[in-house]
Parts: sequence; structure tokens; C-alpha cells
Amino acid sequence: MKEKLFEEIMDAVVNGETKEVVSLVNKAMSNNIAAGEILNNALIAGMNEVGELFKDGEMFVPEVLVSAKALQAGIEIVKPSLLAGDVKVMGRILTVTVEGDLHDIGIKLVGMMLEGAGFEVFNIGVDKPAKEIVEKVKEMEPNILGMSAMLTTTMANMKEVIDIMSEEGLSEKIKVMIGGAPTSPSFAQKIGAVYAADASEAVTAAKKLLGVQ
Amino acid sequence: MARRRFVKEIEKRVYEGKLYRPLTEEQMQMIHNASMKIFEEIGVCIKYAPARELWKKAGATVDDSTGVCKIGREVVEDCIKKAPSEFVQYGRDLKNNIHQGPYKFYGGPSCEAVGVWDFETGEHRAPTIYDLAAGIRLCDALDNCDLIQSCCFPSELSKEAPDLNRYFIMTKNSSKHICTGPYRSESVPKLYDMANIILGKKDAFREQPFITLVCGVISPFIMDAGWTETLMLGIEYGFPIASPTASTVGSTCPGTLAAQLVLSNVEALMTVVTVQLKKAGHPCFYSAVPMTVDHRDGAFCFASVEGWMQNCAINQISQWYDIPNYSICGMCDSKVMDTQLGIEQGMGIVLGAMSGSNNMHGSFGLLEGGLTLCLENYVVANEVIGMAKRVLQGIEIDEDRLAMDAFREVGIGGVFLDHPITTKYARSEFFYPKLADRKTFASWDLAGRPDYNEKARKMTMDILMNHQPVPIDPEAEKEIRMIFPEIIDDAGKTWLEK
Repeated sequence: MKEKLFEEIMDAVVNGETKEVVSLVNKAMSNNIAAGEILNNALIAGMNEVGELFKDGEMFVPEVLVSAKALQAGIEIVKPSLLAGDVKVMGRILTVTVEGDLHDIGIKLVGMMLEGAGFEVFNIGVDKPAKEIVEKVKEMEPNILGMSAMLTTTMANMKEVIDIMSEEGLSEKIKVMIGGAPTSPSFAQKIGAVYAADASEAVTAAKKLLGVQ
Repeated sequence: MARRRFVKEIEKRVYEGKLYRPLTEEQMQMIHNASMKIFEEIGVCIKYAPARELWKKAGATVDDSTGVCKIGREVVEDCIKKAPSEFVQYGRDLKNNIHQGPYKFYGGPSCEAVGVWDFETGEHRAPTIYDLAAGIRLCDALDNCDLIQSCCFPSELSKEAPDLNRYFIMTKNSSKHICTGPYRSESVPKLYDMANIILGKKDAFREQPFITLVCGVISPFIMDAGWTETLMLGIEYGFPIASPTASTVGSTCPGTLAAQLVLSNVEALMTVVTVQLKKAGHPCFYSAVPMTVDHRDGAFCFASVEGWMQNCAINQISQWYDIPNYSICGMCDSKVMDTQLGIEQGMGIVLGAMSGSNNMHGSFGLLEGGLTLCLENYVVANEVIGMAKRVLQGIEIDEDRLAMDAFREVGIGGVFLDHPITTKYARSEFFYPKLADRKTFASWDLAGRPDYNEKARKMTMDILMNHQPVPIDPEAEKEIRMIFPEIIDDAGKTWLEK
């Protein structure tokens, strides 16, 4: 019974059927199945399969995002009943587009994919000066800072952010990831960041940086 | 635990090509009038006496010593009317049926290469039965290959009696419709018998003729005895007929494109007239594959820009007459899978599709103007035809797709990536190439700079290792091999199964 229900929840997550996820998770809760078990063995397990299907090219980006929404809807239901230790913390990521640059489609996509993978993501906007970014980092204490730039003229501002973080002793505990059209692995290396070529690579890179699966 | 599947299959659709119209109505009328004058004043040569008899009975003036028949335009025009505008090219498996009709675009390979790039060693050598099997297997597997054709002539087969082997190999490796002609007319009744055994019922082939006989007309204006006998027998046994003429402008035809269209038209209609006089309403194609010559050195061109224009004009004239066409676009003159090939295959196929090629043979696997078979090319052609079909699908505009609700909900500065409208159309609105690399330099570099042709090779190998066509009943195969002992033991196997 429980196994069958979990299978159905996983199917619904994979197929991005939010209503179905909600009704199945409610059913599981009313059958007194532990919230932590529903979260980890059905909802997150389903999303892990989404990740696999995406990696194999069977699922596309918009479909993954719809699955992520269905997952979130399921999590909302179980959340109030979760016990300490039920939730594996994936990590918090702060995303931003650096000063002088107004492009944010890419970083938003990265954010959605990271959320889909279970990270907590906060986007603080576009055209943010280095000092303001570092202030936010101090305030929100993310595990990773993700920066985006679309222009060759603005990518240099990424270095400024990293330099200030070093001065303030933040570089040790907060990793920096960068991406965007003009950036490259060698540029990232030069400024002391990790490069991701696209949104799905960003997920892989973030997991690797934080040592989570 | 079994892997979960995310299946969002897009329904396979047939698209119509009405986008490229090289001729005006007035030009087609001029071509038609000139063609009718040739039928009336110069005549055409039919070397097979029983066919000449049909023309004579229809009122033609016939000279039996030369074979020249002159016939009035009213007879020709009547036969054009009698030729069906729609018919089914059946598959051995009915799910592969092709519904022929005006403008419908279908892609397929071509025939009879005499060389092949060895898939394993890379050497250029004579083809074998294993190469034929592999080529047909690929056609069977690839979703944009709608018809099959004997891609090469296996060098093990005797020139005297190759046909049963050829058709057996094709039938065993694909359940799609076969477009191929026999080398000998006496093969026709044998093919009919073999086809009936495969279908499992006496005379079942008449209900499900899964082979179109491809004969030929020789330019200028000759239907030779052997091919015409094959054609007439084919009609008796219920095979749909294609009989292409491959004139070369400036050698077997006066050196202008207009003259070649007149000549091709007369020759395509010679077949239509003969078939309709033999049996009114019998399915036949308006078939012509006009080619050009490079006057700088006399080289025949299958992939010249004028050749594509001419074949597209043939398609247009066939639609004017309302008879399905059989033309060629997408065959390459290049010898290897290089930039030249990319241009030739890309342009030829897209133009052919846009003009409504019903039976665009030549688009899979053939290099060097059809003389060299290249197995890796099938998956490439499959991509190009997929893109060409996407062009024909067009840009669909309706209330749902205008997405006003999404504009309102998400609003200014928002992201539509996870909006239901995006997911709903993520697959049907777009063609996803399997081979093209669309990533950034960094990702491509990180992946080891994958080479396009190498990816094509891998995909080809994957299909050959894994694809299983709808099988022939083992009892039927046993019976066929007993009745036709000339069929080689290994006939039907690819070189991987030797």
C-alpha cells in the first residue's frame, strides 16, 4: 500500500502533475505515514529521477521546472509535520547579476534549476554593486554565491566582488560560482571562482562544491 | 527498480510542401503545350510490342519497325485524368503505410550504389549483401525515412538473377514500403509469390502491395523492351509503378532548363499513358529525376542548384496534373561526409520538401551522385528531413499559442520558462536535432570537442546493434528459402550478424 502510493507520488512528480501530487501526499498523510518518509522516499526520490531523466536528455528544462513546482507543492503539505532530521539541507545559494548588467534570464534559469534540485535560492536582482553584494552575503550567509554577467565589460566586476570577500575573510566558507556568455573556465579560475556553462551544469557544480548528492 | 519513463511522444504527422513554386501557371502551360506537340509531331519510342499495341488501340500512329508512336494530346490528357491522385503505398506492417496525395512530403533513400565506405575499416570497396541489409535496417529504424529502396548492389549477387536476394534482404530488414525495380522482368511473378508468402495468404499482395516497382525511361524518349515488359507485368500483379527518366540537360536533352522540363514531362507522361492504357486507375507516379552536367568537364551532377530547381519544378508539374511525383533531391555529389555534403544534403532536401516531393528518393546515405553508399549518412539525412518537415509544419498561430493569459499572468520582466504554455509546446513546436552541438565553446571543449561525424557513427552503430525490424514469420522464411534456393544463407544479415 505504502510502496504503491510512493510509486504514484514519484510518477506524479516526474510528470509534473501538481494536483495529483497534492492529492496523493494528502492521502499519505491521512494514512499516518511519517512526513519525513513521504518527503524523502517519495517526493525527493521522484525529483532525483527527474534529474536522471534530464541528464539522459529525456526530459527538457521546462518540464524539469514543472516537476520542481509539483515537488514544492508536495513539500508544503508535509512541512508542518516534519521532525528535526527529516530534512537534508542541500544548501543556500544567493544569485545576482553584477553591476552594470541588466541581464537576468540566465541567472533566473539557474535559480529555478537549483531549486528543483533542492537548494534554497535567493535572487537579489540585477546591476548590483560589489559592496552591496558582499553586504547581502554577510546578511544571508549562503553556502554559495552565484554571479552572472552577460557583457565583457561587466564580467570584470565579478573579480571585484571576490576581492572584497577575500579581504573580509568570507572566501573560506562561501564558495563562488560564475556563469554567463563572456565567462569561461579559465576566467573563473583566474578570479577564484567555479565556472558552470549552463543551468544544469550549475546544479552539478553546486552539488560538487557542497559535497551533497 | 525499473527506470521510470517520461514519455511525451509527439504524434507523427504528414506535412504538405507548397512553399517553393519555381514555375508560374503560364510557364507550366507552355511546357504542357510543347510536350503535347512532341507526342503528336515527333512521337516517342516504345520498344516493347505489347505496349505499342495499347497505344495503337488508343489511336496512336505506330511504326513497328522503329517503335515510334505518335499520339494525340486528347489521349494523353485523358490518361492524366485517369491516373489516381491519391493511393496508399502499403507497408509490410500496415503502421508504415504511406498515404500518397498532392503535396505530401515523404523522404527515402535511393538505390544501387556500386561502392561503399566500409563502416569498420574506412576503405572504399564494392558493396555486399551485409551492407544492403545494414542500409535497409537503418531506414527501418529512422523516423523520418518513410520509404525504403535498395541502397546498393551487393557484389556477391549474380547479375543474371539478383532480384530475389535483393528483395528478400529488404523485406527482412524493414517493414516499410519498398520502392525498387527488379533487374529482370521474369522476377516479377516470383516477387509476387514471395510477397504473398510473407503476407501469409494467397493473393494477399493485391490487397497490400508493399512494393512499388521502379522501372525507367531512357532519354530522349525511349521506353526500352525489358523495363516496359517489367512495368506491364507489374501492373498485372498489382504493383504501383514508378518509372523515372534521368535526362542530363545539354547531353541527352537540349541544353536549357526549359527544354529539360519539356523532355522530362514527355517521358514522365509516357509511363503515365502506358500504365493508364493498360489499366485505368492503376497507381503510378509522375516520375522524373532531371540531372545537370557541369559543362566545365562533363561531370554528371545530382546535387546542382539547377538540378534541385528542376526536380522541384517536376513536383510542381505533377501537382498541376494531380499525380503523385517521384523525383530526387538531397543526393550528394560529395565523396565524403564533409562541408560540401552538408550544403548539398541540406539545400536539396529542404527545397524538395518545400516543393512537395511525394517520394523524394536519394536523400539517405548516397554520396558521389548515388555511386557510393555511406551508412553514417542515414542518421544525418534523418536530421535534415526532420528539419525540412518542421519547415512544412509551419508556424501555427491560434488563440492558445498567442498565449495572452501567460502574458497577463507573468507580466513585464518575468520568466516564462516554467509556465504551462511553455511545457505544453516544448516538444511539438520545436525540432530537436540529435547530432548538432548547440552548447557553448566551454561545454563543447569540456566534452572533448565531440566531432559531428563521430557522433553520427556512434548513433549508426547503436541502431545496427539494437534495432529489430518487425520479423518475417520463420515458417514463411523457410518456405521462401525452399522455393527460391538462390537466396543466400546470410541474406538479411548485417556484417554485425555474420
